[in-house]
Amino acid sequence: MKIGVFICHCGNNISATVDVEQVAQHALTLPGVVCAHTIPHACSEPGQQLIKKNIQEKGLNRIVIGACSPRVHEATFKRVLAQAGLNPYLLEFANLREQCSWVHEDRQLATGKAIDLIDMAVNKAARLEPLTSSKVDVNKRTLVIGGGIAGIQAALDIADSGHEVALVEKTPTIGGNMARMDKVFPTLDCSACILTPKMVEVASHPNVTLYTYSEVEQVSGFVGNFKVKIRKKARLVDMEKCTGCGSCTLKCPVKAPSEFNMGLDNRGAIYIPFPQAVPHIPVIDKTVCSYILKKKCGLCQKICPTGAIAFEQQDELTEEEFGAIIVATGYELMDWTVYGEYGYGKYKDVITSMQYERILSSSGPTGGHIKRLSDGREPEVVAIIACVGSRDAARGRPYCSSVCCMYSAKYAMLTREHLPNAQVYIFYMDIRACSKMYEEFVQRAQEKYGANYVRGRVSKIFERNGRMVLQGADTLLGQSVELEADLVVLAVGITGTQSTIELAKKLNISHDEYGFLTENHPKLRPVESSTAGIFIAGACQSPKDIPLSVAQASSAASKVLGLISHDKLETSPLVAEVTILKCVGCFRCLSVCPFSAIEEQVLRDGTKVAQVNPALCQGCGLCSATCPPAAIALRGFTDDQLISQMESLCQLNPEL
Amino acid sequence: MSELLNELKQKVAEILPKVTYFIGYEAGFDPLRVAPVFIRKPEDINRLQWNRFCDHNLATYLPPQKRPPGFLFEAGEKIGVLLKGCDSRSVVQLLQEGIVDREKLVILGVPCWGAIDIAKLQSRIDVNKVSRVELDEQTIMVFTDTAEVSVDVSELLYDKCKTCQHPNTLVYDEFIGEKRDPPQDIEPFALVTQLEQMSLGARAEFWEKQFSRCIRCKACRNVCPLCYCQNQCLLDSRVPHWTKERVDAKSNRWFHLIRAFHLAGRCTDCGECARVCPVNIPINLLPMKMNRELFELFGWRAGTNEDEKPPLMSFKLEEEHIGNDK
Amino acid sequence: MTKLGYFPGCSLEGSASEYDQSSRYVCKQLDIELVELPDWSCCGAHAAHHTQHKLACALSARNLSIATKQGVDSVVAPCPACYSGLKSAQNQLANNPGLTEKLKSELDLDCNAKGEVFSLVELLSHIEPETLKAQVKVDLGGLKVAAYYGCLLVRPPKLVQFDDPENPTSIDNLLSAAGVQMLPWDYKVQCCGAVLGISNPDIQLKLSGDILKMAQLAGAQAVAVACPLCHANLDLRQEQINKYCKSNFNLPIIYFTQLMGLAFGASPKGLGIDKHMVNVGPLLSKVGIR
Repeated sequence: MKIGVFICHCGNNISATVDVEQVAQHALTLPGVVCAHTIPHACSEPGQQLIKKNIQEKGLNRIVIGACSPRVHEATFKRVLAQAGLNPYLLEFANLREQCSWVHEDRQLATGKAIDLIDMAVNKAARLEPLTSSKVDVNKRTLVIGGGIAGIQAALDIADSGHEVALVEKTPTIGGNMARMDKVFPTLDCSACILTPKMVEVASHPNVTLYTYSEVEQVSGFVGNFKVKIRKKARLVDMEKCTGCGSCTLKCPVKAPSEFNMGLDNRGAIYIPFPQAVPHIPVIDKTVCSYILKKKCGLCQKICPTGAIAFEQQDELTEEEFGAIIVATGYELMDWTVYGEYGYGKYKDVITSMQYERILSSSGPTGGHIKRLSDGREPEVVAIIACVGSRDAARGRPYCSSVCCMYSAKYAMLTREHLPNAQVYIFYMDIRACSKMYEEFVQRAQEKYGANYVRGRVSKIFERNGRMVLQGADTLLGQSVELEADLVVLAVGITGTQSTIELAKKLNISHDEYGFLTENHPKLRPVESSTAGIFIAGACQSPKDIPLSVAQASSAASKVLGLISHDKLETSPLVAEVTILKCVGCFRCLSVCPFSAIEEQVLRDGTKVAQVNPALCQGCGLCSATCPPAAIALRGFTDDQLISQMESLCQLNPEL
Repeated sequence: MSELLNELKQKVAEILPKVTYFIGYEAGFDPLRVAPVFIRKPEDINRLQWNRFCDHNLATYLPPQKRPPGFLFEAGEKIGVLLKGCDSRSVVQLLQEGIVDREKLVILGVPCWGAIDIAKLQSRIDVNKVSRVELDEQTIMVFTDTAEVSVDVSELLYDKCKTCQHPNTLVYDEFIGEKRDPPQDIEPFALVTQLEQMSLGARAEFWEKQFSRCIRCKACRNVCPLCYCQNQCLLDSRVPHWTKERVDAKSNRWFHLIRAFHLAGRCTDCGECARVCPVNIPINLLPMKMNRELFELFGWRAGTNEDEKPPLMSFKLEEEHIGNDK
Repeated sequence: MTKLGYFPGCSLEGSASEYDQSSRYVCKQLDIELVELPDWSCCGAHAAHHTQHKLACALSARNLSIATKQGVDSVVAPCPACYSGLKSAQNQLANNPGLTEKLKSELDLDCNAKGEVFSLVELLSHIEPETLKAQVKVDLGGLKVAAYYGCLLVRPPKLVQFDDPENPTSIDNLLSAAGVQMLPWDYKVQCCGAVLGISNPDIQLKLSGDILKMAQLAGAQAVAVACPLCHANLDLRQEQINKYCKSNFNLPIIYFTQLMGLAFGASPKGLGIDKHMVNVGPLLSKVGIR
């Protein structure tokens, strides 16, 4: 056993509080230690060279490094070992920075603790064994969940590179929230004009399989080898036979609020969500259809020229295999009716931003004419209230929804273009317009379009003489203000969705309390989820505008392409391992494993023992802690190795 | 009792063709003792006994890992077994852990009024020289060649029987006799509570004394129906070396504490470990203490609910009784 | 017979004695025994908690302790300010474990506040509408009234939870059961200006004027209130409001307990209705009450 110990100064991050020379001198007294050095920056080129030189010249076969957190630089030093011809898992990393120098002030005590840590590391290093990783095949197909702009972009990027993609969308059409929008900032181009071609392209792309009105039912497997069950919900319309003529939708006598138009008007029980829907095939809403509910009507069936109505259709389950998954499930508006001061939703002329998008849209319920929902009158004064459900900790929404400032400015412009004589007031807290051309856009709304910006929150909305009265504060003037408006648009905050939370559970990826998916690292791994092989894109990660969603989608696609460019994947060898002789077959490990990595294995004599699938195992160690006879060990953290660390600590401190 | 015994024999005769063997009790080496018996042939049915001395937990013979050679069986074969209420909790726990297969068991249930602890008789008469015993519902008369004694049975019950909440078999295929009403107002962890009345120092001294008497025969482990790891037992492991082979209070303490932790939330309070202890250490109190903690924290009692996931095998973001100041 | 501790507070001893009279009458009719807390002290109103938080809490804690000593489970306070003070003290005592000891060591105050605290509106809301209807002897169906709750009665929502903080309905429900036509309107919880009537009357007159304007717009012949201060601002100062707002309101402001009392058959004089500045007489004569 030839152990080399290297203590990093980390500039003075460590050496200011820890006497690194003393630690190195102490290390030399430990059994098996051949050399001990201090290095100003172990991670630097000269630092790495010193370690390599010592390995080669002194024939070191175990390396202990006392430096920063292994999260920061363990991988760096594993590479150094490999380059020097040593198995990289013969490295033991002691955290002298985050767990010692940074959190202590007393130099003497901190040095004592550093000595303890090095002592433990040396004792463990003596018991390290070389480990090798195994390889698994990579399936080249990708699953994209969510058919909004982010999902479409990600699917197209991957499909264009020649790989197969399945795009699953839970509603009857792709397009997502962007399809609802009229014009989009900062260029005010028509949303449909830029989105529709992409919708058509993705639907007709030879590498893309489109599953609309479908949901992910179950996910198993691991990076490179996911198995996914997809539920194709019964449309009750035969997609092969239907020509999309739409006669059925005209005849249907049932009325139900249109989801696409945010409940502003009605659709039939059989309907095509919007004119540019892809696929352009109707769907029957089973919860309202009179034929389904009462076996009466069936008009659509009678009128359909191709006999495409299929009331008997059932949900279908298909199972497919993928190498990677991109989640792009988008967002929804928070339930603003918790705001009692805005009337709990009882005033018809207080509407949400998404409803206003539909009113502005020429394909919307008012044909693009701005009208009050109460009496159909054109509004003379339109008030927009920003931050309804954003930056409001009292309502449990402390975060900024990031897009409202911009679309509020957009509404000012569009309103003035539709109704040149109308006045627009925007109640805001701060204006956040920090992307390319955004600030100029807001300036234009104020200067060219004469939007009146009032800095302050609205404390109450009520009706007086048929108009909406807004009371609030103008914090720049330092006085209370009252405004009579005809139409009030609430810039309602963006939230993650309940269905995304449910999906996250199936995918075993983490999410926050608002339903947004959590990225693996907020700065350095923004599109990776907490589970390898699953990526996130668009507003399901946090509120985002279209340019950012598209950028993130392409970023996720490039991560997927990077993954599937390999034929085989190396798995981490730091996984659990069953000693078959010791296993008693109680399978408690199986019931605690969060990654379904434990399987039953039947031996030749018929006894059942546990077996670890190294590709699925994430090395969390739960099984190892649960196993009564300690038959499962986590490689690199075996009981023997951990006990040796504890023993050295207890010997150093007899009172323990 | 004799009616129950007759009924038992009848039932065993009925089920014997379906099972490889039936596990019950037979007369032991003297009138005070019974012994487990494995009935394979109809002519052996008459050996069966059922009385207030039947204290063994027959569930111990059920985990496949614990069965001795010759008692292993082929797929499809079944075992019959007689279970008291307390013993059936062990079976429920074994079912919960997936160790025994309900399909392969034919369980006969009985009502139980508590078993007699022969150790409690010792102070009144030499229990090793007993020639004859007369037993009715309330009293027991014990005779040796030179003496005789009559004692109220309730004075001789095992401590565990006094705090028993399950006088009837919980899981069974057929029940013999009439079910008893479960006793009310029982404090199941009374023995632990009693022990905790002692001061910390006195308690440490108590256990230190007990551990220093332990001869590490491992009978407690071997009799336990839930200690089914057998040769793989962590406490026999050399690498890593969790406990020393040395028999002294310190090493013994490790042995018993690790065992108690491995039984946390699993021990069904059958008390077999204490019964078989050759030096009479009340070692069942350690797992019972763990059981009380689990009951108070999670409302969990091992061996009463086959379908519920044990709290130490599951994770909840919020626990009702943890991290709650009230 | 339900028995409760009764905390009238300073207003009900003076400027709002009619609120006291009518509250006692209504409770008596509904079989609620009010036991006035002996030797009660001021709740501290807004002055105390603006000066020192602990003092405000101590004042109410003392009153609550008196109730415990009297052996009554709960305390009812008609005035929203008293209610708020008592409720918040009770909440602090329950959630701040060291507070009781602190009050004992620093102020030598023995705190033993066990019971619940109710506002009168809250208490009466627990009564079945059928029970209320059974008491009605005089038909007030001709009266159109807007219920004005004020800023404090149903707030803050985390502390006071018996009604909606933005659109409360409890007074409306009580008076509807008493036969009065209650009008929906949007100014139920708008501020009346409260004590700014003394320090900055312009603001108070404007705010109170807005309330009267909205009530009139809603078609109200009178405004029902549950707060002595709201009553003073809307009734006592209605002349001043008219001058400031250049309006000519003549809108009676009536305690909700007075309206209930009228429905239950009490005489206007017995309920102290003659004490209001805006004459209620003409309105009452419309529904046949003299």
